[in-house]
Amino acid sequence: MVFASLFFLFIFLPLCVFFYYSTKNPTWRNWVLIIFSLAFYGWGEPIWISLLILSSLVDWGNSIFIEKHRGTKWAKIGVTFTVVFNLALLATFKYDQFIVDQVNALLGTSFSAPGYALPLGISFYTFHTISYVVDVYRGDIKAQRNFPNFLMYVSLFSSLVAGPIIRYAHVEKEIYGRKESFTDFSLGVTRFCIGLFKKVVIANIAAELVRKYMGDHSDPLTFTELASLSSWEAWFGLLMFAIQIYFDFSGYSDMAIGLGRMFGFHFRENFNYPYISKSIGEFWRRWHISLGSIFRDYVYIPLGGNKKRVYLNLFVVWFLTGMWHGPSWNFIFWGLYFFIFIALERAFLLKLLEKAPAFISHIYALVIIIPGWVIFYFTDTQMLFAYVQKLFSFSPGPNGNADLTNTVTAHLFWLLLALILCMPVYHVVKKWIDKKANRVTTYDVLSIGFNVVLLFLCVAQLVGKSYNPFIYFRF
Amino acid sequence: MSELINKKIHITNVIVFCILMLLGGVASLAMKKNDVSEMENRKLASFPPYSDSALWSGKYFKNIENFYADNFPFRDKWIAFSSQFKSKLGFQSSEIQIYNPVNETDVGEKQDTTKEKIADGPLPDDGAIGEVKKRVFVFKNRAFEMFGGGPAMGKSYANVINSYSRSLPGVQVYNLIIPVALEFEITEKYAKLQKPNRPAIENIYNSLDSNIKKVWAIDEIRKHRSEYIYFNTDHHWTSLGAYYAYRAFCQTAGLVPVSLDTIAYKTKASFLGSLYRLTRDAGLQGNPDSVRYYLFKDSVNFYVGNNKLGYWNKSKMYGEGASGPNSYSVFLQGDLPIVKMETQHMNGRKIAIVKESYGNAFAPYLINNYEKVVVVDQRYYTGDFMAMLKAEGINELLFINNIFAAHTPFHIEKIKGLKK
Repeated sequence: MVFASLFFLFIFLPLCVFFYYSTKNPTWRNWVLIIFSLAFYGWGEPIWISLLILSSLVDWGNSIFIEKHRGTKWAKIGVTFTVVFNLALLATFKYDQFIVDQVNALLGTSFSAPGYALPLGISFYTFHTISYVVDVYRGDIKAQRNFPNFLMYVSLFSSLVAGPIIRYAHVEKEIYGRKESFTDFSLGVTRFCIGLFKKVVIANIAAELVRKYMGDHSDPLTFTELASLSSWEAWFGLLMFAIQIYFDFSGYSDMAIGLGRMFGFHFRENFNYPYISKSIGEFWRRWHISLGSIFRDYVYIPLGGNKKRVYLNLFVVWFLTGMWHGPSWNFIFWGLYFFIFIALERAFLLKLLEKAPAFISHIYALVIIIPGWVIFYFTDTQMLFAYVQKLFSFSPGPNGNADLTNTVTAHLFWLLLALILCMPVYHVVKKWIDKKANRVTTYDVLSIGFNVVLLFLCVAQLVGKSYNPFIYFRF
Repeated sequence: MSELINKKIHITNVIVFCILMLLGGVASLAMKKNDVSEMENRKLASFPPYSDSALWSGKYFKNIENFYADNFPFRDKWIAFSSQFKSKLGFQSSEIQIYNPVNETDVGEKQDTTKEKIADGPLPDDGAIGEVKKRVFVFKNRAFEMFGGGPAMGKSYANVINSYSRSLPGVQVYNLIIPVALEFEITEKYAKLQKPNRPAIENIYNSLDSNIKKVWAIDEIRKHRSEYIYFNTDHHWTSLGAYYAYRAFCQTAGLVPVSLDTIAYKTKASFLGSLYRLTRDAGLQGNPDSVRYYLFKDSVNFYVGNNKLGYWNKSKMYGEGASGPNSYSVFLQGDLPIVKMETQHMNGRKIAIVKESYGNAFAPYLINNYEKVVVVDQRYYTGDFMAMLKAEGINELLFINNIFAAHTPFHIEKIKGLKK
């Protein structure tokens, strides 16, 4: 099940809200969330619920063990066990083919991978639990003694399948006995509607355009098709992907945050207008923030951070960041692509940029980020190189750009909206509206109607729509 | 104080949201379910049967979701609204519509194939291989859209035409439905890919009032099926295809069609059209089209109008600057909301045409037979249609649409909406 579906909107969610708020008992409320979360997860893949529950049991038991033996070597063994166990899960289910391919290439063997299907959300919940256990080990949080509460944290449907990665430490106080309120529910609703809009109206339409120029996994680009493109068309396709992945992923995070808030959780922001960044370092503080902070707190800093071997540490972090995104070399290269610029910025580039006017930094960042998406997009290296060649050929191709002009004009308003929404206009608009109406609450009142409009538009788009992909699902 | 107001606003927001969810949920569960979608002409998903294997593979739940989405209340209205919304994302210049090919679970009147003359049906298989690419059938280095509309939609279209005929008692109404190219090229091997056009056109014509004159363009075009009547790489017909429809129209309207033999023409070569751009097929790329337009001897004053009554700006009938992928826009300068042609034929016959882009290649022929020809694009004209008909002294009204448009809610609504 995905959030952007009619079934979720009109059956699952209302039932969940109803049962949740039909009792005042915090234990029962948590159970509602557990049951609905497992149902949500099992809806897509019933068989892998077992893995989720098993993994949670192991890490929960382990965390209690570690807490009991804190200060002794047993604690260290415990935390190592969790890390190894979870990474082994990832290796087995997500990276099996990749690992086997590298081993075969290196040793000339011909092993074959077990070929299990990728369990939904495995990249997210393994990181949930690793961060939890490490935090217990460090003494930053107390182990959650109650298994249902822990299971709820791991399986919470709002963030299980596609993030944000929720750190236990950030929600520790909200695990039991949350203080739900109309205000929170209302703000959650608004946030959810915005996220739904970003996904269904912006990202999904961008996806159609991406498919037209870059193909997708159900309709991959062929070399003949690529040859027929002009380089402007190739760039436009890439720009559309930059838009798709941002609105897709941030929209999904918005929905997750909104849903959490409806149930009294206050998750941290996962995106902060990444495309207005002035440097690559800044981009990664604005993009998929929960992932970046996990790698910072659990890999970078333990390795020594910027105190020793900083460039090596950065290399490791970016290698892993790239690799997290997919079991394929292009994702690793994408991570390392950013490593290069982060290293350069650290060495001297940032100081240089600070001397120049701000718009130079903005342009620099976009020039690095947007072309970077092409490395992310193509897992087939041959096609990747061919596409890059097309991008930099600066040729009108065999057919010129008339069709592109038509396509852009046919989507002009939508395109402008998407570009504007990449920028933090919300506050500007809110201030302006409230000023015009001379009341601080006008925007909030308008939001109510606005949500209705957004929902309306989204439902219309969702009805009879078979094409509703979510990119980060592969993770 | 403002905190209290804030709280009230939030409570309202919550209540509104909960009501919407409740309404949607209850309506979707309680409302009567249809078995078929008339609009899509297919069986809607039914509640899936249970099986252990379906459960564990996740298919059971996926099918429940499909069932739910397929039976969502007012589905057709939502879809119509959605396509309206999508058409407003920018300035629509191309109108390439992609329709689902006919499904296996097709529903609708059983086609009585025995009644069809062999000459009307698919060609015998000649061993040529085609493939469906991006919902377009690519065959013999030509691209074809696949028609799949249902009879209920056709009836719905006919009803709209009827309503105009009934509210314009002094005006002779005509209807001309244009078949798609595949109708004449399909072989038995691929016959399943599309619905035969003639029965669908029959269905519409049978639903029209008796005083509306029906133009059997499909029969006339069929006689010339081996000529260059449709483009290879674009979804439109050529001026030659439009000419044969014009011939059929003249027969119905009691007119003498102009003969092409003596008329000069110009050609726009190397036209790679919409279906090439969609499929990027190499075979199509090697088989480009040319657009021929005729330079009629009769003098004509051509005017471009707008939504204001009586506003006319002198211009040219052909957009000779059109080139490359936009070559089809040579006809009538493309899809303008309304244009008018006035000729020297003072015979009192003044016709208005309601069309989408297919009509552009057709309309110029009428300057040989009419005193006045007004051409209205059903998608873009937002003026007062009925008042315009009166003001221009129109006494004949032709609805000319390709067979897809006649089976699409978007177009049917547009035609309906002309009459405010």
